[in-house]
Amino acid sequence: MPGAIWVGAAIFLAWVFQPAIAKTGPPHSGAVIANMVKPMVILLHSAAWLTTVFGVVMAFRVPGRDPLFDYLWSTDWGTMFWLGFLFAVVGYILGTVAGINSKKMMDLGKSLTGPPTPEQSGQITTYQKRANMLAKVASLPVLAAVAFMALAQHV
Amino acid sequence: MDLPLVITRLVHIIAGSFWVGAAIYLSVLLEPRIRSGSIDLERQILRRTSRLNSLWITNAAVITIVSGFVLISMTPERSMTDLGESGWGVMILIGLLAALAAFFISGFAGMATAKLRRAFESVENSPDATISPESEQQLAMFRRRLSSLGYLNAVLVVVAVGSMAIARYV
Repeated sequence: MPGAIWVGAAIFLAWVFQPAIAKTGPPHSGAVIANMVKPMVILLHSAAWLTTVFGVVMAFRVPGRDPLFDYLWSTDWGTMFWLGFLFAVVGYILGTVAGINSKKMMDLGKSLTGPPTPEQSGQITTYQKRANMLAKVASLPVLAAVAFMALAQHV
Repeated sequence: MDLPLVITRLVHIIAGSFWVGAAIYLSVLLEPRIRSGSIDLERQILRRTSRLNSLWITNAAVITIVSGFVLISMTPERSMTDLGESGWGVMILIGLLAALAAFFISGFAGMATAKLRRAFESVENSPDATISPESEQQLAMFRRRLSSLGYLNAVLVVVAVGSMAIARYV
């Protein structure tokens, strides 16, 4: 369940919501991002951690694959499994970096006392573009992780 | 390796994950946050995202349900006649009914969103562009309806995923 939330929310955020919000322009997109960064980070991090912890616990309890580490390196199932894990970790790291950029943009927006200078506007745009791009890139290894895990029992 | 079965399974899992994740993200996180902002913000976000959200989520739901039916018929030693019969069949049937209910609820939520968007547009097009008490009441009603439908949808997709995921163990 947390895995579905992680994958679904990451893809929805990166490919549907963020591009649509970016089109609304700075005052609205900034307000939405400022309002959403904290709960979004909590939801995605919680889902990712729960998926990883329960995934590892489940891996040690798969019937017929005990001891796990013998099967992990020597079977096709194991290869698919650790590749899935690796992609999940890469997706999580990239997603975290995207979140850091969104937070930097939000902090910069909050620190403004008047209209942003051209330099500040440029910085906000850079953070937003970087966060959007990283969110898109992060959703791909997460998707790959799901594919590898789902394929594991068929190889 | 049974390639058609593997591909169908992948499509079902990926589309299903997107549906579940997007539905929960929308109802639990996005909509309450947007509603806590200004009316202008809500109006802009609705205008930009509501049609797109409906399109993506409806497509994901249709792909998940259709690939789910195909998956049942393709799974070795399982068929549609097993639905509601064995422990597996009961859990899959519960999941299927919850998924279909979620799909229709999602459709009603889409209608409520369209009504809310139109209500905003009518306010915007009114001569003085202010919200009358009746319009405000109407907006509040659409928001409440949308919020309830969103939460119901999220609960139903959780039930669907939960029952499908544990089907093989009962």
